[in-house]
Amino acid sequence: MAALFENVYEFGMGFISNGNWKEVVMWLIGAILIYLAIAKDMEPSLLLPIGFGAILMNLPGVELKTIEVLFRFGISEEFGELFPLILFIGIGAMIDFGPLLSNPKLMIFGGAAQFGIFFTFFMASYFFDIRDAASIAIIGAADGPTSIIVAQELGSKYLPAIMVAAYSYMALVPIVQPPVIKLLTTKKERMIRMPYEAMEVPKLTRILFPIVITIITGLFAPDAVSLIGFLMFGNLIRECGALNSLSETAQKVLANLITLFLGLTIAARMGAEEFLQTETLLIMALGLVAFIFDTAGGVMIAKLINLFLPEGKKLNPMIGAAGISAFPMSSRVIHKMGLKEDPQNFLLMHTVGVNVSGQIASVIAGGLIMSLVYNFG
Amino acid sequence: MNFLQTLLTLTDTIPDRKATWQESLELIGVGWGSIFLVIAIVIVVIIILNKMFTKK
Repeated sequence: MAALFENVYEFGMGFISNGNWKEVVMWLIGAILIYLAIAKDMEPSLLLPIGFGAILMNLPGVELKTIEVLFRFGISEEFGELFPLILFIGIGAMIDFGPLLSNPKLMIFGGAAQFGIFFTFFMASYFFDIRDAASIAIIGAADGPTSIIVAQELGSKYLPAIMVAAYSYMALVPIVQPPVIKLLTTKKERMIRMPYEAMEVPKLTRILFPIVITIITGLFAPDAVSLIGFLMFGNLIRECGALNSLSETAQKVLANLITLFLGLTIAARMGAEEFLQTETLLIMALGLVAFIFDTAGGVMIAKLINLFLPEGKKLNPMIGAAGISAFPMSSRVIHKMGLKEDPQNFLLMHTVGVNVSGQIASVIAGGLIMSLVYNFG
Repeated sequence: MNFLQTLLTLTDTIPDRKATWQESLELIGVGWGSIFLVIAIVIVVIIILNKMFTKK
């Protein structure tokens, strides 16, 4: 009977002196993440396993070798960051690049909305060394797998905090983006209508697009090739027309399974000592900076382009904000904002086009930032 | 140093120090600028593909 209470007794005795209270704080953090996932529907497929894993990893006297093995196999550099890359196959299979292919100029905003990544690097460099600043900056990619890969490749010690920040802010896009957009635009600008002219995208363009993007990215940003390659491979499966059942498997079963494991695996690095640092709060704040400046970058470039466009051809600057990679949340949020200003203003096809280009641009940005920080002497 | 040279002169080491503000500014310019350059190439390629394969 005494043995039954031994673990509880030791935990209680060391509550203050051994810092065991930190583990209780981690249980609370885990519970909050589970609450947000279930009650608020915030990225539930990831926040729920991360939250449960955080509780699991902080039980006193418990060693979970399975999660450690999952981490080594799924996220560590040793096995080439397997989980995030395989997840990209599923994401690629889910994305219809049609709206982008029918109006490729929208890609400019995908690039514009990566500004937050680089601005956040500038800010983070005051507090963190180069590898951590770059890893934190990539929260602005608004893309979980890219954040994991960059943080792992650069050897950042803040991977769990970066992951929690990246996925939390992706879920908070409907709260973060609208005030920034409203601050930077006038009501008149938000009411600009953009008629959509549907264009039939040739089948061959759809098939060649993922191959060509992979080659171009490989030539200009070699460090992004694993990311873009897997994303585009998934899209090729979708578009080729010969692998429909594989495409469906990649979109549903594969993506769901990997997401499940990924969440639990991230929790492997959520030990109290590792996670409960002042730096974690700082990373959360810098993540918010990244999302704000991504949004601002997209909007401001749209406003800049409008200076050169004649009346009647002007862009609704809100669509620039959809260039962050959080797909499809950002495109829906901005479409709804447009409808709120003018119930006849349908921006959805434009915002989807910008949003999918943000997916591509964020991956390129991830590869570029890795290449560039390697060059710091 | 242009961005292509920057990409081609990679080293395996990242110094264990903070970036100076000049380096950070350079990263904003080179990094953000490079994305636009890659995107411009992609836009041109998509336009060419659409023109090549669209039935008239």
